[in-house]
Amino acid sequence: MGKMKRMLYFGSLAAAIVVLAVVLWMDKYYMPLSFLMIGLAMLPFYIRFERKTMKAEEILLIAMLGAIAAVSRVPFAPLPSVQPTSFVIMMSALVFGPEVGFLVGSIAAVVSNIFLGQGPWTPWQMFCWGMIGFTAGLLRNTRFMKSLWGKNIFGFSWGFLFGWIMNLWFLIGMYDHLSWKVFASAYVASFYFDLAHALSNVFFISIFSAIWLKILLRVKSKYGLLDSELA
Amino acid sequence: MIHGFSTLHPRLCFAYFAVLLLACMMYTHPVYSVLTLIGIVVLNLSLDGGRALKKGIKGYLIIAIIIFVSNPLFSSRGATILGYVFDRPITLESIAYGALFALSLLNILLAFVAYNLVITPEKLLYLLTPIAPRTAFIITVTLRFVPLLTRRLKQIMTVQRVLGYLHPRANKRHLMREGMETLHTLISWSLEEALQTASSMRARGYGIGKRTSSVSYPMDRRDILVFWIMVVTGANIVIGGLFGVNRFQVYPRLQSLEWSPQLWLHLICYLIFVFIPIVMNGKEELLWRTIKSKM
Repeated sequence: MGKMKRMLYFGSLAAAIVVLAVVLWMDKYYMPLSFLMIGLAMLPFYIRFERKTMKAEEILLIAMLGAIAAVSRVPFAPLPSVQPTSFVIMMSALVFGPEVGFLVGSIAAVVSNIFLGQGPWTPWQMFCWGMIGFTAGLLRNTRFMKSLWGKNIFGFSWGFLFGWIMNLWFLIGMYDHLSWKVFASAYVASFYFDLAHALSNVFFISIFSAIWLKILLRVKSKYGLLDSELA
Repeated sequence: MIHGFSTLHPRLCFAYFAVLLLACMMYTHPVYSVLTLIGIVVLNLSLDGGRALKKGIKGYLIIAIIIFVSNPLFSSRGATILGYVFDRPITLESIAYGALFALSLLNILLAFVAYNLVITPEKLLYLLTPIAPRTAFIITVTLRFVPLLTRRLKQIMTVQRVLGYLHPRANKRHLMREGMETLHTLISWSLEEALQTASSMRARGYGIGKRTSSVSYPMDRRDILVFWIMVVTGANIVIGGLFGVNRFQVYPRLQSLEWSPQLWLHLICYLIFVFIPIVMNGKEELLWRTIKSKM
């Protein structure tokens, strides 16, 4: 495609999306709008992933980390909110950077839901877990994230943030007028689940993180993977 | 059972669920919601006899009931006041709104139960490949790793047991330390293996040209017929929806049901659309029961 043609193509696509969003907003169809938004928020990561030249090793590494994260979720499925998935995603992001963190997180969400059942929550989980990876990757070179305390605080706060974002998917569409009171009571209702997630993150980070980082760093330095362009 | 609707072209199945889910989210007309609920439940029954439905329905009903009960408690919009609870007016409108949205959420959740039965991972990957080939590929590989990892986990645990490390009567702390060891062995092993798989892939020419899909779904005559039915009824659904034919007002005052010819037309189109898979599955079922051998 020529440059002009491509600009026209993407311009009209963007315009169509904006018009659609405005129509949905005006008519108060907040639920489809929220799905549109969450899709658009994840789109840049996937466009970049599709277009970058990547070695087969790098793709397979992301797939394997995603599989480990997804598998670790399945046996914990009966316990709501307790899973080492967030921990695995954080560790991958700390070693391999923000982009890998995002991909590992969102792919783990899709794949584990293939076993546990897709639903309207899938895009939200993709987003939340992706963001855990992305933020952990962005902060990985700071002193805060290098200390065990920092990692624990990070995991603890994401335990709550994850639940708070996940609450949105039904709150947005389902209440005729959203007030702070509705939000507050939903968050109070989910408090124990969020706390369980936060505490399980802290548990996994304080016990396993040192050895996980060692294993992942060893693979990274042995094969020299995913380093230069993502630093 | 793989017959009827499940054998339709994946793009058509996906389009069906996309329209159905959007309709669940956007239409608040009570007649539409109730008919959609019936349609989805019958669809689930015709797909697998309601086994998947039975597993999830309890949780979904609880969510719907919570929404239904909590809406009038939080919202006191509406003109018809029925009574007061804790000095807050409870209105007929907010109860109706809660009921309609609980129903709509239930529809969405149950539609996803059917979606999971029809759109298998294989079809999902077929749909994704032309749009995002690398994403589809990475999901395929990740999916393949999941059974591999569980198999390896069993192997490692067998070795540990043979060596006498995983004694069932050992104390908890010891078992946990061994459990950690199992997991770390699994990770180191699998990551190394993944990289070897990658080298092997590269040696066989990964990334040289465009990849092709191993499963192909040609559009046959039945698919094309269903496609046109979906286009005609779907266009009616969308256009009618845009003009607000089936708009139902809850606030400020609950609207009574009004039947206009446009609404009838829209409703009939919607019903035909929703019941496409049920008709297809029903036809197969009838054929199976009534077919006579001509030998």
